[in-house]
Amino acid sequence: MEATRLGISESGQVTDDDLAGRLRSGDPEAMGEIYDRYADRIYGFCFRRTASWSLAEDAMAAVFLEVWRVRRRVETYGGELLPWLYGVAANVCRNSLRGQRRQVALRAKLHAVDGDASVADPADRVAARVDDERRMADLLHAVALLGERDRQILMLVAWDGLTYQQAAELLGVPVGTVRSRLSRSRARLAELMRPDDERPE
Amino acid sequence: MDQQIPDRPLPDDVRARRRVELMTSIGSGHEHRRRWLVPAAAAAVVAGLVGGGYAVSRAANDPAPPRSERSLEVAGSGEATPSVAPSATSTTDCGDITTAQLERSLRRHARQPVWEDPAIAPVLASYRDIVARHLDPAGQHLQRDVSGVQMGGSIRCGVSSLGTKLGWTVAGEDGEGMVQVEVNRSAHGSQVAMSLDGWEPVPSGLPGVTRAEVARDGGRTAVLVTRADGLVVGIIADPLFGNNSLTPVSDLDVSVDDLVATAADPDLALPAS
Repeated sequence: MEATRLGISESGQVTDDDLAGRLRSGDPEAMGEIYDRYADRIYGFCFRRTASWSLAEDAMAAVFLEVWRVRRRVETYGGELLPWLYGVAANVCRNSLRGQRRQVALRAKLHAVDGDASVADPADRVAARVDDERRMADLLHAVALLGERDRQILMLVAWDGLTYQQAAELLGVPVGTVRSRLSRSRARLAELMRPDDERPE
Repeated sequence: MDQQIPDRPLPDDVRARRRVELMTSIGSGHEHRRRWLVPAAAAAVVAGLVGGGYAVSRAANDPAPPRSERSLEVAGSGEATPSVAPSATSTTDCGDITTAQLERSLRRHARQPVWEDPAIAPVLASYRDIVARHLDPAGQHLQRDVSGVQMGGSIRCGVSSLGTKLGWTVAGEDGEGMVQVEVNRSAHGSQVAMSLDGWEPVPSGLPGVTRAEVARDGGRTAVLVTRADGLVVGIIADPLFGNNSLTPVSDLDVSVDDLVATAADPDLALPAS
């Protein structure tokens, strides 16, 4: 079931509609519950836009602050908050990437702190994270060659787990458009990611 | 293709730290204009602890504590009492600290943010007044309230750097600029120094100045002044306060000489240890 896979129905009786209502009325505890429920999802979403775990962490934090700031505009899609959260996250990540150079300089300092203050990662875990980032950067480089709408649809559905319907509502396009563009984008991306020596002449 | 997308959950400690920051921020009502402040302050707390010798995992022959001691409680509110006992890592007032102490410190600062600490607040306010004295004597542009804090070291064991960002507005405009001021014990680790590249010396005959440098990046102008009293003061004038606004002010009319004179002001100092 899609909702379960997205983690939406995993937190017991409180529905996303309940949380959205409480958030809209300024309930900080609802904000905390939304964070607990979706922090991992937003973290992953931000990583898939930045190809950097550390940037994704900063962006994830900024997303939830932004969610609180714009809480009166919260809405659910088919009873689910995640599409709206992704919309906020997309804006934050876009701004984050714009200010990346500045952040890199800041992170140089903050990272020294973080690195010292947390339990050291085993070397293999660090290597895996670096490998993730390299792989993600390659993917982002490839999807950048797609048209903007195709890229958005591919990322929201194939990468972020939204349903066709949710992606269609979020982007304001017909479901059929999502379906056809996704199919085309997947094929194109597979082509772009194929090693040069395997591509047809 | 879909299976190739890397995916990882947030590490427990990161999840907890970010939650404390979030709940502190929205609880304080600072999120509207000070979105960067709480994370920076929490980082400052960590920095202070690190500066004091945080050594949970680095100490030789000191195995990492069990997961129950490393993980921070995330399910409850930010005010939850830590459920873990301090680890056996040796501690001193300004020496090594444990994970549990780090958590307690974060929670304590969640209740009393560092920018409200009686040792820090008046110094930050003085930064605002000094900047206004030099750059906005008519009081037309610089916001009255201190809008954030960056701190290295710790209040208890000595502050090694302290800074803030001040909003700058122009009458009739919606945008917001920013003046960032930072006082450091050394240029090493200065956020101002790291924020721009291409630093060049700039002549200054001001008393107490041993070296002055300037860097520019787009509309931003920054100076870094090394003073005879051993402090390094960095100031950035940026037409866009990126944390608070998407629109820059049309002009942030301050000269390099103004910025250097501000940084050279001996009243810009660190809190007494």
